[in-house]
Amino acid sequence: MESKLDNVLDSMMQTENTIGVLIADNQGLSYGTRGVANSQAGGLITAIADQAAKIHPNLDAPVIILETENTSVTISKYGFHTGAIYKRKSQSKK
Amino acid sequence: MSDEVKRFFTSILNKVNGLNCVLISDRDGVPLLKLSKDNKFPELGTKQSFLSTFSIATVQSSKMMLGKNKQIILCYKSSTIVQLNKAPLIITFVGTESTNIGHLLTYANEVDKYLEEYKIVLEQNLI
Amino acid sequence: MLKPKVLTNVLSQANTGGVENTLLLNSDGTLLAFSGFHNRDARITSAIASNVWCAYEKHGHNSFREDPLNYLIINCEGGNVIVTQVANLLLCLYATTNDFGLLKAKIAKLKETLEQPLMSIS
Repeated sequence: MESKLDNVLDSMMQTENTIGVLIADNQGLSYGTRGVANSQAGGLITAIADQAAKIHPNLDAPVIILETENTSVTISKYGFHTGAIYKRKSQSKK
Repeated sequence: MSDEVKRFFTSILNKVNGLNCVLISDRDGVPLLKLSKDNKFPELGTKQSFLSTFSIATVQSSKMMLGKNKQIILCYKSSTIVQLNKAPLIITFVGTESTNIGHLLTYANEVDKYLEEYKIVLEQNLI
Repeated sequence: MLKPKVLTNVLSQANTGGVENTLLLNSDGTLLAFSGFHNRDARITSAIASNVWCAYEKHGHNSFREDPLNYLIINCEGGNVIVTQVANLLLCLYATTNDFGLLKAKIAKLKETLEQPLMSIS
């Protein structure tokens, strides 16, 4: 029933340096996760996306990037769904 | 009633999108703490009869061979209610239909350390 | 009339990705159709799920305005049960996954598929 969703999640994981992905609905409940992403994080990720969208309510939802020393999380909202991609920072950038 | 507990639950109310009120009650649904964003408590989800429904529901749910019941999430047409099993206490969150349930649930484990004093009060009353 | 084999087939489509059983029950908790792995638990689950559903569903009618119950998720340490109403029956998924969004989406899809055929027989 969710094979298409699984395909999307798996193909996102194939991208270089990706260590986790998550997709959640508008109530912060996760549809599915891969890698380091935890389904519990769906709530916070949706909350961050909703909060950031308030900065410019008339524009399309923004893409948010949270950076730590070694990893980054990219969050984006599309309609009722919010997605997050966890990436390891590539060594060459250092 | 300590301010710390109030502060903690008020911060949840302010942080979680769509959430309107929180109630801490005993298993009979008698409220020990009621907090609301706008000091209004909707009919659905805050009455004693509703709160106590959880006591039976959580005991029954623990017999489904899925282990102990932790919480029950209710999605009504125009409201969302989440009830946490923190025996002998019940924590009830009431919000709009678009409440960020996932965000709310991330606080479910943090709640415990703020409930100790209520549990002590309840135990003393029982003796 | 309703074809039992087709019905079970439809129910079985949800049994992937952590969903173990899919049940269709009467509002009094009797099992009407079942698809899944643990037949043994199905009767107990259905009785409890319908009991909990009915207890909460009636609160939606007691208030000044009607507020029908759409979904109910029972979250236990070892898994989850999600319940919704289809026609005058209850649809119930028994799952070990914690992806509530997926469970909601699945049960919504099943509800949509089953609503019309079940409405015509009830």
